[in-house]
Amino acid sequence: MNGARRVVITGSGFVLPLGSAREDVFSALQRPHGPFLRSVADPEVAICPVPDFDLKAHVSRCKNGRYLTRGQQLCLAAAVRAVDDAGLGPDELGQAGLFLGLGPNLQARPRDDKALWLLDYLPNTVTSVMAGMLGIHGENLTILTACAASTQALGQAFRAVATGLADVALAGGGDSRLSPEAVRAYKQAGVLATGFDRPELACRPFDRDRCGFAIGEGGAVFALECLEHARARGARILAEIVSASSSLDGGSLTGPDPAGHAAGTAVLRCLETLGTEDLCVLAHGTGTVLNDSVEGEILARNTPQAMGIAAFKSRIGHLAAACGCAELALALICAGKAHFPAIAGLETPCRDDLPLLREPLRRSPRALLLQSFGFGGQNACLGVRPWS
Amino acid sequence: MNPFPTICSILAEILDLDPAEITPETYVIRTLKAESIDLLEIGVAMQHRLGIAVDDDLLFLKNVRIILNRAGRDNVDALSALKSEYPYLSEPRVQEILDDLPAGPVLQVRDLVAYAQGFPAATAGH
Repeated sequence: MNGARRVVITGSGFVLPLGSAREDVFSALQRPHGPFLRSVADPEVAICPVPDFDLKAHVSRCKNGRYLTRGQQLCLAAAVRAVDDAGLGPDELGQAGLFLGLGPNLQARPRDDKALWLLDYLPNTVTSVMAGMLGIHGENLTILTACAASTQALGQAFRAVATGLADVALAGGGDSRLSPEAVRAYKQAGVLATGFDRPELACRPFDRDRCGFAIGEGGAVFALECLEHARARGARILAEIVSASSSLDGGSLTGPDPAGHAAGTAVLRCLETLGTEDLCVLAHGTGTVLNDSVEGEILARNTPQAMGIAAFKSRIGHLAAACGCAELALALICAGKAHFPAIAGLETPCRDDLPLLREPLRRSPRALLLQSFGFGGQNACLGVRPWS
Repeated sequence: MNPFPTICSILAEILDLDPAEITPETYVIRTLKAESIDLLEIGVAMQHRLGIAVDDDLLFLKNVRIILNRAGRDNVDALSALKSEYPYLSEPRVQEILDDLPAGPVLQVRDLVAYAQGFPAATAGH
């Protein structure tokens, strides 16, 4: 985007299995493993829930919360926290954009006791509730591209701010697939880790003995602004978004293209602006046999010289539509502390030509590359520079 | 059976309120800020939980001003017109509604209770 405006992140809000405050999350990342449990719905499956989540602890009265899934409620809570973190007021929010990556409601059904059960099915219900609660009326998009959704939402928000469609935009997402229906759906799709001794050892991205992912949940939302706007109001700047890309495999409805052509193209397009110097890659790293094999090849082709490859799903599970935004939230916390944790459970790397983090990375990278590759061959990447 | 506790619980749940804030005299729209989609949900929930047939226009006193306009046009006494349309409301309550109308939406929780008591499934909705 020639002549485009610079876009910075001036606030983040998150409600994750590791906590909702930066210090809590950073402290939890120092432990060897994430807080995984066996699912009550299916004890063969590992999950990583947000403990004791109550929307009311994050927002005031919200009567339309009755139409929101747990994932959407997590997203709403994260958005309210992001606005607070960024110090945005009604003047900034009125014309702000809103870009969310969300998932389906697998528990929705026609009901006799609810007039507007139709709203349970509509993923943009939370967009509307959020807009009402925060007074947001600008450019917007609700994106449903499976596990690429929130990364793509951040990319679209970046483009909207860069091209002047909005000076301020909120972007991120939320998802929860811990319900019995969701656990069953993933299990039948054959993507979940099973047969583990302990739930914290279920998801092992890039390990030779990996066998699938563990299910997480959470929400993360960021306040994006053009640099001039952020400076004019004296906002604290956390990072700059410099590139965004997306692509489609056009192949399998579930697994990635074994050659990784389209995903690799998305990575390359992001790297054109971001570069590879002092780079830490936030890998999709689901821990499924095929994803990590294809992603490993893409990493080896494009970023073998990175200072580190992190895989946060080993610590919070797979947040589906919200995985990208959640992993960016974790990465910005780690960048602020110059300390990225090792990939949990990685004992025998599936290949030896990648800088997979087997020990913590005790440096602050100048560049972060966020990679999200979802069902449907949906790929999205984001290039971010921690602010210094 | 007094339907007030059930109605109170329905209102608290749908409007995300503390049930302790709700009394029979609480205004549903004026004070509790129920919007049109909330009324839809309250009607369906009352139908489901109380086993009554619900006519939203009657239950939520939606046509009071229309009835009064028509009564004025036809030279019919306002009190009589409202009593005829809302037979489950007592005469003193109908008079109160007439007096209260200039201050805004008149619907109170006790009107929902009266509807539930006066309109069992067989007769509701005319």
